[in-house]
Amino acid sequence: MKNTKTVFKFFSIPQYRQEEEFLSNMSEKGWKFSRATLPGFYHFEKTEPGQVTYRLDYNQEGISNKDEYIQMFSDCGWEYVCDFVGYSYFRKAGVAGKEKDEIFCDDESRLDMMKRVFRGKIIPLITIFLLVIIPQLFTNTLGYSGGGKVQHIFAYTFLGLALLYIVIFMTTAVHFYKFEKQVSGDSLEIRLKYVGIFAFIAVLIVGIAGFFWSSYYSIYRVTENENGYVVDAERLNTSVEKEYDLKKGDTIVFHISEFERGKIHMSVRKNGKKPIFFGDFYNTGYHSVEIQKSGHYEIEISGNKTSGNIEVTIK
Amino acid sequence: MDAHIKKVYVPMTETGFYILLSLREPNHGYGIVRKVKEMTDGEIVLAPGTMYGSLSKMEKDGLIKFVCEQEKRKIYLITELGSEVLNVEMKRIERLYKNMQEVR
Repeated sequence: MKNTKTVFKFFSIPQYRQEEEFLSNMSEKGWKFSRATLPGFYHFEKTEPGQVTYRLDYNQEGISNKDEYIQMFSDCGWEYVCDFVGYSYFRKAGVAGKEKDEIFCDDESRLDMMKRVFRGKIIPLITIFLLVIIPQLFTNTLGYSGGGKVQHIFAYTFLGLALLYIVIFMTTAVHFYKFEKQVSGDSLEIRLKYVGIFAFIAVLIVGIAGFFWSSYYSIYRVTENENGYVVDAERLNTSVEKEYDLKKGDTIVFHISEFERGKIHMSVRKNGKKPIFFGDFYNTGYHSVEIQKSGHYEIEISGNKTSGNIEVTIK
Repeated sequence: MDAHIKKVYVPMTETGFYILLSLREPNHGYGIVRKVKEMTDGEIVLAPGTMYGSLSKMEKDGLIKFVCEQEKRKIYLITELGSEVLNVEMKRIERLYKNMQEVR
């Protein structure tokens, strides 16, 4: 039988209580926690099953003065296990629940620890969120950055990241709210503060959904004239199809008179047949197609976040 | 005493009070834990996370100062500002006690 075991587990930043419980449960099953590695692997060694209380502290000053920090805990009967992403792990034999099995003896110092977690982990996350994730989401949805599949992958990657961040922000806010309510009572001031925080998070979610919704929303105008039509697109994500009865010798002229971004896909086909003309275009210019067989033709112009002006003339 | 010190330390937590009371003589964290346990007949056992956090916070705020290190244990002593804060606290507690006695 193997003597070591690795378990992958994700805990959001403020879920250190759940983490402590998880490590204690593993001890009861005879697995002694030895260390943790990124992104969330917990390594265990086989041992006798027993009751062990685990506690997490977050103190960057303690980590930089490690000897002295660990000494204080070991004087008080706590064995130091390891550090992982800023948290320090301690354990003590015995069942949790008694006062002496806590590494904090008052709510003020518990709140101080949460504030250290907030400063050390949540504020950097908020900074990355506002300076990287939101601008990236914006350029990859509403803006244009290369277009096509790559931009799609980017947009969804950053959407995934944004949702993960929002989950972390929400769990943190809930955690702080519960704790503050417990420490200082359910005051109007605290309620208002958290209503504000949750409203802000809701605005973020709506905003991100708005980015995606409007990036798929096309803004364009088709104007017909005597000899054809004009597609004037601010953002074209769909396809514009027109049908004409054409005779042998007719010529279709596509004139891309303005081109800003995206791509312009154009094709001409006889009903149900392979196209006689098609291609993706990225510049202004003229393209013409001469009809060899009379019949019913379909002209298609489609785009991908395209901004430009295309005149179609039939001669 | 500036506004920040007043806001954070007046009134003070029991932990904070006992730390300042103990540090009128040089001592390290665990020394304070033992002393407080003795003073309160084992009723108050200060926990290491609380102790470590409070000591570094008080040192940063200038209520206590680092003296030397002995066997990986930092020894601290109360400063003038610390004594001032402790005196304010003592007066507050005396008044509490006096008022309590009157209604008893």
